[in-house]
Amino acid sequence: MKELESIIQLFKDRFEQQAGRVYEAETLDEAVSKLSSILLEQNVKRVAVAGMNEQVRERIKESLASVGMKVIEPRDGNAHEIINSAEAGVTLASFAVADIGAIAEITNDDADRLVSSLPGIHACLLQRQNIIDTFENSAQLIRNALSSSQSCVVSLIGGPSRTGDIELKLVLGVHGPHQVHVIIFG
Amino acid sequence: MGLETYEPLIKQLKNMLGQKERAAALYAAMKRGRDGRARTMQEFADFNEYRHGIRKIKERSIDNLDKLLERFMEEAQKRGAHVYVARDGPDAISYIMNILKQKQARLIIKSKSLTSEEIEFNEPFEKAGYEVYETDLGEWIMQVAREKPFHLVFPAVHKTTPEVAELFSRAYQKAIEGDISAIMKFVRETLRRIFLSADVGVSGANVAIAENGAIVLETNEGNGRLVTSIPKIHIVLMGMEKIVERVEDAIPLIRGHAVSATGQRTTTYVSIIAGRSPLAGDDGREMHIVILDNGRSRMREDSWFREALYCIRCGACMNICAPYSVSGGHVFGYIYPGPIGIPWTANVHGLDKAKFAHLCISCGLCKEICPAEIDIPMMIARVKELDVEKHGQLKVNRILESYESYAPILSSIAPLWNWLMRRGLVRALMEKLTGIDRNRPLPEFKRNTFMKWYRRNADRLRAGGSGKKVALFVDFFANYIEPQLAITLVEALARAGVEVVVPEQKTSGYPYILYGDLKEAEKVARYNVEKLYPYVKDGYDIISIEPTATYSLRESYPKLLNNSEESLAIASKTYEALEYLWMLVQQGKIAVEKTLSGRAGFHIPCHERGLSYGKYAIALLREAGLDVEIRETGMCCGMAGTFGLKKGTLGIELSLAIGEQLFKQFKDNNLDFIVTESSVCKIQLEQGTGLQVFHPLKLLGDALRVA
Ligand code: SF4
Ligand code: SF4
Repeated sequence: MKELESIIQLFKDRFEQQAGRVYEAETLDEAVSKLSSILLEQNVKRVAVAGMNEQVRERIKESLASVGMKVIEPRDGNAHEIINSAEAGVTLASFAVADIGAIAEITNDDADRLVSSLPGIHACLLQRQNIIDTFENSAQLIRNALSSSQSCVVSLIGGPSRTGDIELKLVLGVHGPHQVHVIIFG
Repeated sequence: MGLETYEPLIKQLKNMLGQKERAAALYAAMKRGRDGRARTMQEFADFNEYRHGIRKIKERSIDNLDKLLERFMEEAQKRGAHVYVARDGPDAISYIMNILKQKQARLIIKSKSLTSEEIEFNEPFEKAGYEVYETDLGEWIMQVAREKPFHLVFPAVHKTTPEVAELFSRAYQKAIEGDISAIMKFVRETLRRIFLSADVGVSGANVAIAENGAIVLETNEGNGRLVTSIPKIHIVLMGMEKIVERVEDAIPLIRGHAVSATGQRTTTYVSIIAGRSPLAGDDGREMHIVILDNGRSRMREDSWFREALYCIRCGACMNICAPYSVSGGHVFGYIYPGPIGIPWTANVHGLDKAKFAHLCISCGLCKEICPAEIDIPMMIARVKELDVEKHGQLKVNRILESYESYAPILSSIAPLWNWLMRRGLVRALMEKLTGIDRNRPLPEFKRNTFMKWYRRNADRLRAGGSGKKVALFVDFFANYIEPQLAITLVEALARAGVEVVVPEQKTSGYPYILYGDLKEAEKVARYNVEKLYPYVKDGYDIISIEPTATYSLRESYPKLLNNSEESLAIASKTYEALEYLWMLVQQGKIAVEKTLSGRAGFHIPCHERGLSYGKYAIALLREAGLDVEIRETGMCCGMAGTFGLKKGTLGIELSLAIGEQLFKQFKDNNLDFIVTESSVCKIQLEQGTGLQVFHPLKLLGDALRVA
């Protein structure tokens, strides 16, 4: 148990060092309400929600709708335009890797990848028990994900999008989100 | 002879040496990369061990390339991807052109791909009427400016913010203010529309995984994710050498790449893509993987250049290359810039494009920083050799590569020679005849060489007593120029009961490597190994005073002699002089008295960076009471053996330009003098800083006593 705590701490430290933000919640309910308040604070009106476990998605939708946000579930051919109109994207991380400070998303449809790529804000729920200590130790997980279906993308995300291409000045939010919030729960 | 072929290079270099702001921007970028790397390395238990692991993975992967290629293709095809192996650039381009025609595509978006630059992808597609957009910011700036990358990781680092604003304003006829947020707003908005309407996404692959037909894409800006998800067609253009067997093999490469490049733990985004995913249920989408050979198969068969295929394109080697730091990627590069750009250019773009190989001063540091431990300097020496074979050698290089062989004569006429060398007129004449710059003070020869002294004292030195036995590799400087250094060392050893012998030997021959004469270098290596090996077999340790000589024995000879058993045995028994002395101090055989005072700056010669990093010399000097600290840029001082002796741009001018940053570090009025173990760095530092420079043995002379 103590070990898990130190792994979580490492993830937190490193992800935050990379300009991501991390929050902790006890339960899914608590996490979802934290999510609503983060997005409210950022003045978000339209939210794209990625495909994920039905139960979690319903909770998120309910909660966001109840505070007046419009929830988008892109499931038709024009998905990229629709997602692009959202100010925030919400996903559920498959796992996270502590020593590289990154969350991992396993997707079988690129619309889900776009939810964490196009909007300016990305908020992500992450189950406490799914934080792995090292990148090396996630190899088997990655392999399983890739072999479980015909097409699959594993995306590791280590904070907001960034560049230093002009005079080495760090700029956050280039073609991807400028904010990434991770809410750990469970 | 051959001078004409150098002219374009010299002209470009001269022009660049005049552009101080560009050099400053480049220097800052390189330093950022190095510092970041150094910081993140600390998070690893042992990053050198990690590098070694990466090396092993690449060795294995290139050994098994045929099998891995087949497996990768099979697995990717199972997932519905179309895979094609392209012979060369034109083959790859026509294959892709065909796909686009069939699909009636029009708008192509790209994420950064060096492989696509290698084959100059954009031009033919633009000519054929396609719209092509680089979406990585640095690459886009280069595309709009129609320039080649200045740096591998920061392609546009030489452009200031106002210059970038101006560039986009003109190209898009839009007033963009000269501040970074205005530029970023423009970039984001413009490219976002392009992303959303593109029909083809072209990406590279940082790694490809055979066991599941997946490719790995590493980006920071997030453009890579958009390029590979929105368009109907995703084309991967990747080098054949990128394939590894398993996920476990890919992970260290992904980490090693980011840590070495910028000090990031990984890039912000790492996408591992297997097959083409549908988009919101639409599964009429395609993935094409074009695997480029373009000379790679040939490189794989070439024992000199095979290692180049281990490159994971992190750019670290250019972050530590001193001549690159003042010349930049347009001069020190063709399409592939920097150290590793030399063997790659020679192999994929042709020897004639790799003339910039002669900017390399063989400092060896690129090898030390490379996450795949690639012996880049030796490959560069080979490129120089091929070029010299084809175009002839510069006279000055021919003289300097073998200058050490004139030493016996010069030493026999030392008083006359030294007197001559002090005459301005003689130096002017010599400059004309040989190309050695008249403004470089040359060290004076001694008539009484170390070897003469040794012959008189040999019997006494053989006495030993402690059971330790040492064979001294004297090299040039300690024999002909400053015999007292070697005498100090040998006497200290003898007092400690160490048996000392000096086997028959030639000087290290390292200059042959610098000037690309590998055949001569190999001959010298063979000779010295033959002479030293019997001693090693007999239980002697080899010690050497000059860092370059130690480096030759430890690193270069095995490489030159195909890792022969004898050369490896010698390498494993070779010590730096001060390392050996420190060992004896630790064992209580030598005591160090507090005879020194004052404050000194320590300069680490390049070849010592691959050895002890100066730590033993510093420990001994501190023990003797000296206040000593390292001052460094992390790079070469610019002297580079005899390179800095040469007249002109490709000699003293480049050498002093490189030295500037380092001189500043020493000239802070806080230091009494400088200490270094290299005889040639000494010339450069004295001239550049005005401070006196001493060898640690010279300072320690009286301090080393019997315990
Ligand atoms: S050996 Fe030194 S000078 Fe030559 S390419 Fe490598 S870093 Fe540059
Ligand atoms: S040669 Fe080594 S240091 Fe240079 S880019 Fe390749 S992997 Fe990086």
